[in-house]
Amino acid sequence: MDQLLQQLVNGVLIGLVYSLLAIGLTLVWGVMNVLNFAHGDFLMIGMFLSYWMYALGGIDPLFSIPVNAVALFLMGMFIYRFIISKVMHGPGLAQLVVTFGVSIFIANFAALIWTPNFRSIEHTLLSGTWDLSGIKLSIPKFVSSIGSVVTSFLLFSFLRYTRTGKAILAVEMDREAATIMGINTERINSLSFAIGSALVGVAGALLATHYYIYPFVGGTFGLICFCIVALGGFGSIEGAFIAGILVGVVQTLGGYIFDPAYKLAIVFVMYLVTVWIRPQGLRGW
Amino acid sequence: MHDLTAKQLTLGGVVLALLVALPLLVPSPFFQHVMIITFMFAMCGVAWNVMGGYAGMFSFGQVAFFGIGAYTSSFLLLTFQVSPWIGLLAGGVISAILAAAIGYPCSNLRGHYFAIASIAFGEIIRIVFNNWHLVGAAEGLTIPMLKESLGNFMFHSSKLPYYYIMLAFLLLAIAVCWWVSASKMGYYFRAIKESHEVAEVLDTQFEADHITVRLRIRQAELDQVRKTLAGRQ
Amino acid sequence: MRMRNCMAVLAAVAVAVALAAGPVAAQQKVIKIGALYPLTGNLAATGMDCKRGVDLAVEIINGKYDLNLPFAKEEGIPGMGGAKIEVVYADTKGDPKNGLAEAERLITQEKVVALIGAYQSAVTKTGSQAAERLKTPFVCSDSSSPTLTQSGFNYFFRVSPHDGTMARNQFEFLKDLEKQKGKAVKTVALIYENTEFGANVAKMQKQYAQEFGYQVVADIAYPANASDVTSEVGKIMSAKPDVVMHAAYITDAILFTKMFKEMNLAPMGFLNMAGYIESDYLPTVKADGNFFYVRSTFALDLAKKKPMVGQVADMYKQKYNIGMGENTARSFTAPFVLADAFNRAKSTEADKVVKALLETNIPGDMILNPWKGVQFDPQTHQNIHASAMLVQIQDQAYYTVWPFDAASRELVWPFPAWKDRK
Repeated sequence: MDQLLQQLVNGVLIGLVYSLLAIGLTLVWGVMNVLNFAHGDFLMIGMFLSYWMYALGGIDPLFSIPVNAVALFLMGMFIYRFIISKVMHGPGLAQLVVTFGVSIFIANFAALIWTPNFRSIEHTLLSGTWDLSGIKLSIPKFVSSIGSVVTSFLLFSFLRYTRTGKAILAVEMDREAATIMGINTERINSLSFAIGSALVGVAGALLATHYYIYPFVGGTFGLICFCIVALGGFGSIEGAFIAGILVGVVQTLGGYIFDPAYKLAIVFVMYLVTVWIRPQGLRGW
Repeated sequence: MHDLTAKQLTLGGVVLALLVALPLLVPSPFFQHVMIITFMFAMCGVAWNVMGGYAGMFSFGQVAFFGIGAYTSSFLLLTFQVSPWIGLLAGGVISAILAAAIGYPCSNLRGHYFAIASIAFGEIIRIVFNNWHLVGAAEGLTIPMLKESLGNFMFHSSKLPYYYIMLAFLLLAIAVCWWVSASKMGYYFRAIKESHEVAEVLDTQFEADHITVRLRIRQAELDQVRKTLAGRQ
Repeated sequence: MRMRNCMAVLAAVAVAVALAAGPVAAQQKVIKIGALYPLTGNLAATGMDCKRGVDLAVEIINGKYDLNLPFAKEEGIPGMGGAKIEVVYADTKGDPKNGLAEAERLITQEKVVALIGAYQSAVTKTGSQAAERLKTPFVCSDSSSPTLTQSGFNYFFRVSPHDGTMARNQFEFLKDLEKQKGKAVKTVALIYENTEFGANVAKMQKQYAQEFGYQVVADIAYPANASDVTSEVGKIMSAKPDVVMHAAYITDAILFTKMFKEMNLAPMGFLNMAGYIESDYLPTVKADGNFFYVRSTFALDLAKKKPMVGQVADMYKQKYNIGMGENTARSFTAPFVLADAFNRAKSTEADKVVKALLETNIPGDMILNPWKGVQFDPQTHQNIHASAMLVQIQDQAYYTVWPFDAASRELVWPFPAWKDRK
């Protein structure tokens, strides 16, 4: 029983990390209808940024969060302006291929300049494990989860309560109508992409506190991310958030109760069953 | 598009003749290998086109059907010594059945959800096969080197037979694709691509959906099996 | 129209490839061998380790060095008129499909006369199939799946030990531990990554566990590229084993180490394979790696008994500014075995080389690894002297602890509790 509870707790912790990754992706997907294959690699860049700030400047990853957010925001905007916007008017497949190309380029360029070796951040401000009557709670993971919740909440508030945020939501719901209402959809596109990237930069800083860092780490999270976004419903921030936690829990508990070798299969089955019952995902429209 | 002009036919004929003559002109086995793999991927592309190109339903899990075809024919060969040619058809049939089974409930899904569902399906198949001891789990199935013969679908001395067989199957795949596009089903597919809502009004969606899936799978499997065979050579 | 476009593009590609696929002329005084390694992708760091080992070996063969290694003291291979070895690398990206394609390309396009590599057993499997079909010798000294030497291939040879031998070594260690140090173990938990490598290790471990009389209380397979391993560690903990035997690649080794610490899993001992001895493992986990046992075919402390090891390790450190690791030491040996065969065959013709390989008899003091020598079984082509020792990580370095008479340090058993450290 103890172990079961432990698995549940860990499932929620990793699920919250997934959530943060997913909300960035769902924003981009919802607004621009573009599946950003390079999402995982942006995460990797965020992780490396935190790493270098730690290794060269002794800055704890938690303090690198704002730096990451800004850096990835600018990077996202740059990539959108100069690469993605060029294919926005083309067929959907072209956009996918372009982001895929960006992904390959970033990962391998990172491997070239930083070498493919593994790095990790050893001594963070908040490290260690709490023992709560038998249940082990990893402090860095716990902090990451809090970070994820806070960031998601901030994003949610931004979208709901600011003018720009509402404009983004409008474009998500109906692009043509938004244009008619006078919203500059091109600017919204690039803003959303930049915000999505910034979010993943924050996730990178949080993950760097307890995960290993190397140029191809993007691939580890990529596939699960897409599944979570779809499960939650494209474009829905709450959906992605809930789905992230759900996937984390199902993956961990499922792996423990049945067989870890099949844990991803269990997640995918859950996805299939969900969309058969509700084709637009949990909270999609 | 179904009325080819004389000019188009001639050009097609010339290209075909070139492809037939190519391996004889360039005897490098590596080159032939690359062409064989090219034909294989071309077949996959053609199969995918039936659904993705015509009906606009992007599926990324096609590789699952590929694998099922490959495993089916390999398994039959290893366990029951069934000739790869029969294994090929068996793989196709099994894939078609599976596709229909998956296609029916998925026919409701739109665009991206469908794409992810196809990936989900592909991954499930991959994980299952990676852990299922009947089909060799992580080690997989290795086809032993059999005697060289057409019946065994194994040629050691040269890649030429593989080349021509692949080319023949590619032409077959293109022919099937063309036939689909010219048929009533093809028109339904294009209607779906233009607008799901309109097609629904025309009451064609459901049937068209899963048949599409099935057909496409049919082709995909045939590819796969081909691929396996290509993998063997 | 579609058909026409289709065919036209096909034809254009065909012509382009034909033009690019021109044969490369071979030179006389140079012997080209092909090397298959994952130079990009997940295992790129390992691939580079192996490449450096090969590069160093070839440099020693081609140049003049005062080392107790074959052909070190003269330039090139004497039996071939001083011909030098040139290595052509192919990046497998860690994918078995590429193993096949690249092996074929190296042999038919680059005209290499032999192959080495490919680290990952799944890739070596397909590569060796290609070599067998194209009748080219393949000398492998860094892949450990037993199935590689069970296919009855004529052209494939393996210098390093396979997982069957190494699994057996692990149980021999446990038996020795009981007999000579009085520490008994009853139950083991097997946990392994889910590809050719891990699956085979587990198969062998189950077999030997039964043979040696240990009870397997957990048998857990997991996907290597997992982002989280809570479920797996949870299952091990529920089984409460005396010893955990883990077959991993580096990414999972790191993840599991952190998880073991986090969940406070401390059995009597961890006997691990592969990932834990990668050169990136200790720098990433640092002190958390202490007290794990890893099976190994190399350790720097071998230099105490074999000075040549120290000299080569120093040379490596000077050239690359990093310490020599096990993967490097394994890949290092294949070029020497091939050079030795070329030397005796006085030819690079495949069948003559194979005959020479079958007659290989390199003495133990002339190889970097701690084996009695290199001699191939005529049936399986496996080096009969290859075996593994056990090293334990202490003070963030690898020390030989078994066989006990070859140990350079006393082993630490049982595994100290996590909170009693640092």
